[in-house]
Amino acid sequence: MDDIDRPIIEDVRSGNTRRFAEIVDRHKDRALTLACRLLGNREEAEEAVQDAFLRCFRALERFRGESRFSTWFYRILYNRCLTQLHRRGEAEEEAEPVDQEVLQSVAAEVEETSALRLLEEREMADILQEETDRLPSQYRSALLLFYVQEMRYEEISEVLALPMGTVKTHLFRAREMLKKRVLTRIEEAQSA
Amino acid sequence: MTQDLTHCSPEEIQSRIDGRLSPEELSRVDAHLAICPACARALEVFSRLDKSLRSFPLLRADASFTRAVMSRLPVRSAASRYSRVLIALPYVLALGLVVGTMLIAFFWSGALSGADVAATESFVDQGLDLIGGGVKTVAAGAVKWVEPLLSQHALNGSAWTVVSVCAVLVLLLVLDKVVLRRLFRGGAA
Repeated sequence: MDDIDRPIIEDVRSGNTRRFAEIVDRHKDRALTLACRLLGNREEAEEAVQDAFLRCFRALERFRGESRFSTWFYRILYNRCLTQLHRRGEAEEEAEPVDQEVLQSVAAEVEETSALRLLEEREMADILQEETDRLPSQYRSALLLFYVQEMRYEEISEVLALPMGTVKTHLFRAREMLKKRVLTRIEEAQSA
Repeated sequence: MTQDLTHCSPEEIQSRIDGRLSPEELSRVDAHLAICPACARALEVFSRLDKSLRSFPLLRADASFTRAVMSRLPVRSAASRYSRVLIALPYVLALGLVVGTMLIAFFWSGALSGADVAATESFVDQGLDLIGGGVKTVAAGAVKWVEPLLSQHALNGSAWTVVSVCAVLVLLLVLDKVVLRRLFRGGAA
């Protein structure tokens, strides 16, 4: 597997610890984005990302290179965020059951989704960000890893420790929930 | 050629965007999209949602972030294989010394004859004559204590083994716990 972090990791493991800064520089923004979206608080997110980098450094000897370094690192970060959410009692939230009508056919919803086409790009982005933060944590995690971290299904499956089928389902449901919520927001705005 | 009038499922449309359809599925979905305005519009909407999600803004960590992480790295557990070898070296040498002593004692105790013991005593006596009388008295007492150990029948091989294992255990117990933890755990996450 092609892993651009691998040569640096090998160097760090050989004792050149200063090169770990390159790893931090490379991943800090995406890691912070993920942690902040999961925790909803920048200060806590920064602390979580720092902790994740430290844990990762201490455990480097155990990294066998079977997956990409980034996958391994994001798994550490995700677990750290999950622990934080557990402490707040938020990690156990149940995902909303998917609306079966939504899954049946596209044709029935074409009329309402046409409203989405009218939405301004900027407005759409703002609403999506707000609504993403309100998704159940497991859907939100899958969605962020896919879109922000640009991970493949296999990598997301490894980070979240979930079967690939479950990852696909979470992603699909996350998108559907987002779409429905964005539509609701548009309707609310129109009726106001 | 028949037209596929079955509407695409949302999953199929999303998979079309993600590029995860097989060639057969792709040609079937594309054939339907070409003749179905409803599914084509849905594809457009899904694509727009997808595009917006992909352009999620990245948060930027402060410039000091990397320095903060680097300053928190544990200096001594730098995971260097070389540093581990250096830390381990004195303990390996000590262990080797104990094991070596054990082996020499084991074979020696079985090989010494009475004449060898007498010669050793004589050699020690001569050496002690050169030292002051007080020291000689103390040393003579020590020789008396050591004498049974040098005897062929005082300690057999098994007894020497037990003594040596005990010595190794004592050595391990007095080792610095922090150093041992670093050696064997390497700083777990």
